[in-house]
Amino acid sequence: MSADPALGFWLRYVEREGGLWEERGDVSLAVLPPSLSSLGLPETILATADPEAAREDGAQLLGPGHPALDHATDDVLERGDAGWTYVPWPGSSRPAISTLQARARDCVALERGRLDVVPPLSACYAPLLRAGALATYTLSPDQRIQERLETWVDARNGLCLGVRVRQVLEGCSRLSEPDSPNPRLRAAPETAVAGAHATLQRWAAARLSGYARHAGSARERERACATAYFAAALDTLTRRRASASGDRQEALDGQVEATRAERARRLQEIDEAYQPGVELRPFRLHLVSVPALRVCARVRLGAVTHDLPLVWLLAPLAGFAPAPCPACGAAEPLVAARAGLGCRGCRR
Amino acid sequence: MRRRATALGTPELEPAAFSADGRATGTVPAPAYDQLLATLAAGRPVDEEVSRLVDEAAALWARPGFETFMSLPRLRFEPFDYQLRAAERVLRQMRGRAILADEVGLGKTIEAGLVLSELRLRGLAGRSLVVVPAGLVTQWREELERKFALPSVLATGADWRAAESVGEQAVVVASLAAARRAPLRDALVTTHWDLVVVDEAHRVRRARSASGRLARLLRSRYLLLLTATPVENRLADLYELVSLVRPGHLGTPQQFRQRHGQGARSRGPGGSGPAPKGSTQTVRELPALRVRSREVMVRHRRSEVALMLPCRLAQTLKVAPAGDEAALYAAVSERVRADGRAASSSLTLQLRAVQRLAGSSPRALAPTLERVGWRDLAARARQVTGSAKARALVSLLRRHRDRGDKVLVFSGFRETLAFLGETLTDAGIATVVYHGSLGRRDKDAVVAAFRDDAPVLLATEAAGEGRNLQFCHTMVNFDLPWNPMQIEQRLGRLHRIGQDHEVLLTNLVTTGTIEQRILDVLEAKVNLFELVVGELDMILGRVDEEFDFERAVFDAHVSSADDGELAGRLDALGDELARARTAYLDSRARVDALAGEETEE
Repeated sequence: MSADPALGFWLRYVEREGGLWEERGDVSLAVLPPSLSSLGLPETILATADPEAAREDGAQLLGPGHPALDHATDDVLERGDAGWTYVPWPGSSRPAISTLQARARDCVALERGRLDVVPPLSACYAPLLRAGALATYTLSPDQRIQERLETWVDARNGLCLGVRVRQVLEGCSRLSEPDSPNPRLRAAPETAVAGAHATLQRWAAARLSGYARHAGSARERERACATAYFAAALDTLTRRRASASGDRQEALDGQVEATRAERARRLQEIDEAYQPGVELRPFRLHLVSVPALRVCARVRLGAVTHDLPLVWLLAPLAGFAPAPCPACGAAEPLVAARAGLGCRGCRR
Repeated sequence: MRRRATALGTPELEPAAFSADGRATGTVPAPAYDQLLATLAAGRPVDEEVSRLVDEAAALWARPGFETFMSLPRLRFEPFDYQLRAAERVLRQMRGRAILADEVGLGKTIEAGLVLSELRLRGLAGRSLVVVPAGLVTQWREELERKFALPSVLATGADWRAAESVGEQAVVVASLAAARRAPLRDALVTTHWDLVVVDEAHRVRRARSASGRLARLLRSRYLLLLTATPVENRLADLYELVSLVRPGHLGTPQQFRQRHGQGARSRGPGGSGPAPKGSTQTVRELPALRVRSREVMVRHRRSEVALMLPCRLAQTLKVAPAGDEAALYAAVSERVRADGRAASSSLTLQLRAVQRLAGSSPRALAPTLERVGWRDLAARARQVTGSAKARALVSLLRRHRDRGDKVLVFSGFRETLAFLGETLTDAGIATVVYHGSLGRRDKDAVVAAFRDDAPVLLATEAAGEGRNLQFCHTMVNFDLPWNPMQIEQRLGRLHRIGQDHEVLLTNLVTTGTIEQRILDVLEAKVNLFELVVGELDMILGRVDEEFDFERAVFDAHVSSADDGELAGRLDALGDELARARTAYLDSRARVDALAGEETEE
């Protein structure tokens, strides 16, 4: 397989589309399937990422910017990547109740009362959603930055998972079928997607703000500077033209035209520098079922008892999924206070 | 931000909340999710192969901020940090319009190539034009291809678009001399370029020169001006260049003159008197001007980037020719001188080649003498079977072999290489031969054989282009190019980044030849072998924009009545080069005063 990432991708794409390829020294011989005939390439081509090999062996130089590669990239991203997958059920034993109890107490700030984890614990698969989107930051029409963003949320409620959990999940092996008969908790895909999308938007906005910082607040100063400069330049050209001979006048007309075009370009450049924007294009949704335990955390506030359902994600994640406020559903830290159990907003 | 979760209370078990038609229920934030959600609703497992393909496509699609160099993995070399930082500054802070004003030899071409490569990879510079002095066209094309893997096409009077490769747009390279004249000029100025690079951009400073007019008529979103001397004697030089990349940045001409142009006079260069009005010695508010200049200009000095190469030591072995060799050389020189005075330009080129071959070897000379119709001289050349220089080379190589040195031997002529190959083989010295006509794989094989086995590489100028020869640190010029840039390029094959040893160069010259006189001029007047890479070009460029040393030497030869007169003419040429060298050093100091940085950022 070609060491060049672009060429390697393209060859795999050709193969995926039903074509064939093989390496021949410094070049690759590819037989394109009929579905790629619209690319305008011959059915059989030699492709390479090495300009020297392209020149000497008459091969197609296939690197970033080549229409065939752009087509493949767009096609693959347009179709996207969606499906279900499972994290293998771990062989290790369940955590002790005391461990769960200690970690549950980290989830709820106890101003009053007490919190206990009460049996039974039931094994299940917790649905998590991995969502990916391509972010295009437009700083000006000629300056775009494109990045890939990915997030993980709890697919039951759209709440964003912590950084550590996300990192561990990305390294987990996956199965296409569950390797345990345990039931799956119900996912709410639209809520999950909404939550993921909101997270991605928030991240993108922060990135955009960073990128646009260079634009600064000097727009008017820059504009005034450029306007005065071009006015002076055009004035000089006009005066020179008035006293020039016929041939010379023609040449100066050309310079006037070029100066005006340059003025428009420069002023547009200044204006555009201050109008940043961002667009998200989703390309991935994976519903990942993760081995988990359903845990009931019982919070006693005087005579009142609240049963808070929690989900413990088994090793290697080893942590609770984020718990929404039982009253309002907000993704806020929970507190057990005189007024009851909920987020600070609800208990105020 | 607050969101209401929809799955509260006792967790429900599967299935996921899809409606009967398989669509997700509720509000989907963007229609673009519909297709992905439909796949989820169908309950299909993730296809790992598709996932991998999508990851690769996303990586290729991505265009991260300019703090990340996407083109880095595609480069065929490792740029220095300061070059990457310069390119990043150009891309992020200068928005792709900048003056690259590093001291010579620090890699302005590399910095421009990084910017060009990065913009192209991001789809921002499909239409790219590089305008360079004619002598640098080949070098630019080689660098673009070998270092940046970018195909290029030479724009001549014809329509270059026909020569562009299918698919990826090639970088258009044009010589400044051709580009400023119709019809190429008309084609270039009516094209809307994404990026224009002008090398040796001090040549486009003056708005009323043909080159200056061309630069002001070219339309481009991004513009890179490369020059080690953005300022000569006039402060207006700087203003003109800055106004090209960012019009209005230094104000109108009047504002600029008022602010910076009429400061208190200081003494002129050398303290010999007041500096002239408008010169760089009369700058007012210099700190403010330096700040504004740095916003559009990158300049590194050698002392700042600690780019130190090992020493290079040059020695000249003057070899007395045998009687028949000397007689042949004298006869050929006399014939060239006689026929050269009224020769057409094509004959002049032939005669120049003949004279150079006479300084190389009789074996190489004979076929060319035959071609120009000098059969009597060709017969004499064939009768000269030995070569004093070749014998000297054998002795020299034996000494190097005994020390275990690898030696790169240059000749400008393949016939001479063949002769040397036979001579050295007869002397029991193994050699491999490298020249431009070899295919890529053969070139690789020759370099590998030289590295692993053969002690001597016999090569034409093509040796080492894009190849790593730094395992060798000894070279011999069996014959001397008349073009001093070629001498420097030969030396640069070994004396370059990655070379850990002192480089030893031996010039073999036959006494009484033009090559000996050239070497005397270049060593005594210009200190050729003490210059850093690139400085020679700056010096030669100062004599005249179109100055051609080789042509000047030949003209001096044919227009001189005898060798004594030739010696006087070459001496005068040497004095002119010496003045150009002094002017170059003065200019470098002025640029540092105006555009240099006290400390590296």
